[in-house]
Amino acid sequence: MSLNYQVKGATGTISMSVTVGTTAVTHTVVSMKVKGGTGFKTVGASGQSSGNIPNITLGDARDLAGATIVVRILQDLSNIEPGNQPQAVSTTNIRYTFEGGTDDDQVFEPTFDETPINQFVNYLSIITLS
Amino acid sequence: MKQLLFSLSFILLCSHAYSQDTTITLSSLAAPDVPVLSLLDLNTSTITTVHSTKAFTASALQAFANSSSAIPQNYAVEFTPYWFVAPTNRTALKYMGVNKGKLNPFNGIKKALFSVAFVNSQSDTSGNQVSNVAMGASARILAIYPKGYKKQLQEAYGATKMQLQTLYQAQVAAGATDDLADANLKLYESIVDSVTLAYERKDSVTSLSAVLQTKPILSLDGSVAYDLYAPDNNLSGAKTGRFGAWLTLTYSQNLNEAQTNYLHLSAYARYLENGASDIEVAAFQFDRATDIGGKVELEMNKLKVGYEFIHRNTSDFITFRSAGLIQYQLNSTVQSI
Repeated sequence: MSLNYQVKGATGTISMSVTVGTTAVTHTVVSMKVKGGTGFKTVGASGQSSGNIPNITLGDARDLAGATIVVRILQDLSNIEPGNQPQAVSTTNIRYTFEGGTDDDQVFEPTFDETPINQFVNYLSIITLS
Repeated sequence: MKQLLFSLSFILLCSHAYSQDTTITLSSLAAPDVPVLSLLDLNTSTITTVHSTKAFTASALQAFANSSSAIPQNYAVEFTPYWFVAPTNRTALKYMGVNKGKLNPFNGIKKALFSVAFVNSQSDTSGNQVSNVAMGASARILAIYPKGYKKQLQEAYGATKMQLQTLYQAQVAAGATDDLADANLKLYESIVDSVTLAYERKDSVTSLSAVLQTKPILSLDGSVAYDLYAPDNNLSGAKTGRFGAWLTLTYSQNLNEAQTNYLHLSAYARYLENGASDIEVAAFQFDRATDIGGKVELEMNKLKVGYEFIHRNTSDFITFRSAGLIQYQLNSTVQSI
């Protein structure tokens, strides 16, 4: 899923957060590549927390036009009764909140149509800053 | 019903019952998952399980559309409202009952199962059509786990998180990099899927599900159901049909390290009321009944051996039931449709 956040014209710091409302065990990794950069670098990971990443400072808006952000979310459903796992997937609520851009705050609520591979689910979002 | 257990029961090891004009049926004494089924003497196969507001609305609309009267014809549905909403503050630990580092003994309440049933039948006495509109709810009200359970749960949760990080690293190592995701999404997804599938095939099964199999030392299950009874399918003349409330308090003593053998001691209390005496069924041949009973059960893997006793005090008679039970679970993974 490709999303876009406007930063052109903004002069402050751009930051983002990832919120994953879910009953499944979740691991989130956020990476970014600036325009003309050599590769993606991890800018945030959920570590031992619930899968949320509360505050990621991406950098100065003037340096970020053309940057690409990749959010990867992995879930393990083994803590949920097998009969409830489809509901756990359908009620997973993922939000990306950006701050500091041209239109100030913006919340993305991407929808996914992911099918679990056994007890695992993989989500991917690509967000461009323009 | 999320799972159906194929069970083989050899009943009446030492069954003995006494009553003045009826006996207590051999249905389970414990608080039922779907209390409207118990209240209306329905079969589990008659109930539809819905998992979302959309499915619930469609199911209900269809039931009303197919009905020639204001009351749907023989429609029963169960649902868990917890799965109807998708808030952003849910976490895996909260779902498992750990909130702010503490184990919540009332965690089962939020997963309460609700049921609604519309049943048309013929009155036993007048032969006229009667409609029953019943609703019920059941939940695990209280669960107290053994000492050390919270620590085990948190450790297993941490291990599962580590496994997810390992899976992520394995995906990247196999070529599913962020650069590839940006450049060639199809190839990226193909690699992610194949690595995830292969990862599952390894012996990297989480211990989290094993920890979650731990039975609480003390649990309290409750159910309640209410039935509105409408003679001649006429809602304007509706009156209270039946009412039932069930409580089951269970103490479970673990007997081995693998947590497959338990000694269970259960106490039962239930109140049943039949406001519509002209639609008596086997379990409701009285106006009011109060049951008090108990059960002792030894669980050894798939085999359960137990004895239960119940005393029933009704407005019309007093009776009791005394029965031994042997139950063997053939399969625990069969899914209902």
